[in-house]
Amino acid sequence: MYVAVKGGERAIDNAHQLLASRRRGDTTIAELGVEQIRQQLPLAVARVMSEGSLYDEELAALAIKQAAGDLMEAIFLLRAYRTTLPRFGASEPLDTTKMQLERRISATFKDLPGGQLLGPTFDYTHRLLDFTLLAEGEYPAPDITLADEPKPCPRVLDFLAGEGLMAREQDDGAPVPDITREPLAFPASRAERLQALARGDEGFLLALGYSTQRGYGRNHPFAGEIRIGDVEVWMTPAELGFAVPLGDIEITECEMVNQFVGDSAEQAQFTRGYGLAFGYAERKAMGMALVDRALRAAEYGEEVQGPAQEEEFVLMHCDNVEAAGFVSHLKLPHYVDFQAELELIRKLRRQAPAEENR
Amino acid sequence: MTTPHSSHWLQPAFDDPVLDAQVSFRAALGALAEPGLPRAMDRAHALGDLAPATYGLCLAFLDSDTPLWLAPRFDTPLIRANLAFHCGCPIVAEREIALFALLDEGELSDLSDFDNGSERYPDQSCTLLIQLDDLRAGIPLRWRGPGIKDVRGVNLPLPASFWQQRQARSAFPRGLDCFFAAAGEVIGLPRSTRVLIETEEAA
Amino acid sequence: MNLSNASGAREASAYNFAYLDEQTKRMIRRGLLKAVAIPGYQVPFGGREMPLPYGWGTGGMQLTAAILGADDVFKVIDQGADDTTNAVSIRRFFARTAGVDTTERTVEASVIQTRHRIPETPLSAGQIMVYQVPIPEPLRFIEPSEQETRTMHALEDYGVMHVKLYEDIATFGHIATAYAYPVTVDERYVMDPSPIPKFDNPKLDMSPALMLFGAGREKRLYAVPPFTRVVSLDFEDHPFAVQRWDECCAFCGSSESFLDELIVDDAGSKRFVCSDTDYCRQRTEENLQ
Repeated sequence: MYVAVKGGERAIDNAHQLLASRRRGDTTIAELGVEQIRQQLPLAVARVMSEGSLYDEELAALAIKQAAGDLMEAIFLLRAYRTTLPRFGASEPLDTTKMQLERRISATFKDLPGGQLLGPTFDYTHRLLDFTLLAEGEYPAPDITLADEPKPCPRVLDFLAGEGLMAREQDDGAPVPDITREPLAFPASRAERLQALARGDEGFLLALGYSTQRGYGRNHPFAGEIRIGDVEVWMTPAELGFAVPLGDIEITECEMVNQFVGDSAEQAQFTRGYGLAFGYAERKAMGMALVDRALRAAEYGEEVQGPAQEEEFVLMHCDNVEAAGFVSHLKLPHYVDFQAELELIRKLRRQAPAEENR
Repeated sequence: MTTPHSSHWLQPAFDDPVLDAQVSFRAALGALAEPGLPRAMDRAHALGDLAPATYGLCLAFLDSDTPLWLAPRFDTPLIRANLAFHCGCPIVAEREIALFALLDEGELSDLSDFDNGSERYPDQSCTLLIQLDDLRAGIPLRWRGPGIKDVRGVNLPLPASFWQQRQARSAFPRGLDCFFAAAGEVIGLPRSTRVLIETEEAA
Repeated sequence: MNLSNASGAREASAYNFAYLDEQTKRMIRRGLLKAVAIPGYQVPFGGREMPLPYGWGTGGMQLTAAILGADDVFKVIDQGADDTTNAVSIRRFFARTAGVDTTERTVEASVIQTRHRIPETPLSAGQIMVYQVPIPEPLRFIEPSEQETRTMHALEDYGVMHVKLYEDIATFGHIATAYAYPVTVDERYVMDPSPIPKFDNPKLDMSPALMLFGAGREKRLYAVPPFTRVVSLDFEDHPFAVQRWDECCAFCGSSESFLDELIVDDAGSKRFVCSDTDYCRQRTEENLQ
């Protein structure tokens, strides 16, 4: 009877083998390749890369395969691998005005330099199950020709900033902290907040962003611009002294235009929230931008009315690897603590009648 | 940064960077956990004026995240070149921003400006690595506090001014933590240790 | 876990000794120096993701990875037992990544990683205990904000904790905390001793062993040096007292150790056995002689 609560090495090994077998499923069906996942589940790969904080499509696809499609487990696998990687240095800031755009929309201006580019999107698809996907087949290629050379495309919010209607975001030159190497202290800097949100759980940020729309810290957002595409990563190695390109990564960037602040009518300015994610990850970038703006409450002297505006609450709970771990640890044995509670509650109940009779 | 001509100064560091660093760390941890008790710290060779124990502490704890303040005696091309190469620690002229400081006995009468932490973050303070000729040649003092069962007699050869400086920079939990190194041994003196001189409390 | 089964040995060789890279170890080691120098104070550290979930001992594992050496003999217990699944998993992890010797015997171990217990066998000088900590902040359940609790520690303002304990007494007639029972370390910091039963609290006081505490998710580490005063909070009219059982261990007959309660049949009959499996085995062997 005592053995039942004991695991032992054999039980663990067996559990791993059972899991491997469940992941593989029916062996008469062809095994899923990592390259297939990478090519055909790109949005899952993007989410795992973003929240796993590592841009590597192949490893993200491998993690999804290994995790049997559990994206949080895949994110965790990628994070644990990322921890062990050596740091060669930091890249130059990405210049997203030089993106090779695949999609670019603004909800604030009907037309603007660079134009509106719908690109691949679920928007305007009717959410009807496409039964033709049950059968394998080829799909017609889109009837468009892409520009050979990427043209620089100015950001929508820069037009507003140029007109003085919005504060320009400036690099203050301060060293950028790294929340994966230094513990967060509160109040956190915006750089630290954005890092935490970029790694944060999409569902959590979506829900918090949504809560601000429903009045828990309302800030009147407009989707100023969402752009998706490839951007070059540059780095300046110390021994060279000049920047060299390392390659392209796909990113999604969202800038929200939010209600104005200012001490007087002349000084009134729009405010902004910022979201950035690896790969094609529109929902994540929008949720992040909403929450980023909400967390600027203190900066703008706004009253904190909702959870999305509470920095410590948001940043300490947005990480799904941390959250999933701590919730799942409840599965571990707690019989020592529980025994301590049992002893206590029995003692309290034994003594209670005596004290009532006094 | 390594200067272009510094490579001829370079000497080997730990024989086994992983395991020697671990052994040196455990000695340092033990030294601080049981203040006053000498521990072997002999995995490194001497480096110029740096004793094996002093250099071992450097190799075990310093890297690009730890700005180091160097006493003039240790500010030599040899020591700079090897610390830059093996540890990569920035060497700083301002005491305030140093996380570690390498001192000799000539520096002990002035511990001003080394960061002794804040009430909220007392851990964000400078650790002093103090090289002495010997760890036993001084008058015995009685140490008490965490890590000491009752009282421990320790006879580090230190000037009275050191104890005055230490007291001046102490307001627990704020304070300075010290390692005393000589030859291949180290003694730890954390801020939590209460040192009694004769019967009167000095620090 | 991503280091598993047959390919484990090959994968392990791709990682550094004890898994963590040297820069991370140095960061943790520097934190440990400060933790020892300021007993009971929670040092923030740049906690890393480990290949085990947060909440499953990642804080303890990071400390273990930072301190473990080739000559260490390593023991892991969870709920006092060496053979619970998570203890087995963590012990295997370090046997694989650091190649250290492991043991189930408390007296043979130089480093003991634990979740929720302190061994019954008295610890000795030179031993290091590594505690896995879920919530390092003893004031967290009274004040959720880190900014606030940090200020309370800075000001040594522990009034809210005493109020909470006293409210327990008013409601229940007793302090209603049975585990993770707060202590004062060296008359300064109030500290969470990790979720050990309060039965184990007296073992912390003036122990010859070094006690290290690691909270991975919360990114805090703290320490109690050997021979340090550790006092459980109480009141003059409600002094601290540990749990006692009317029963003895069904295996070794101990009436001194912390007991686990087992329900052995459908009628709810109970038996009690030692939670510390090594202690129970020792005593059973002695009884047979």
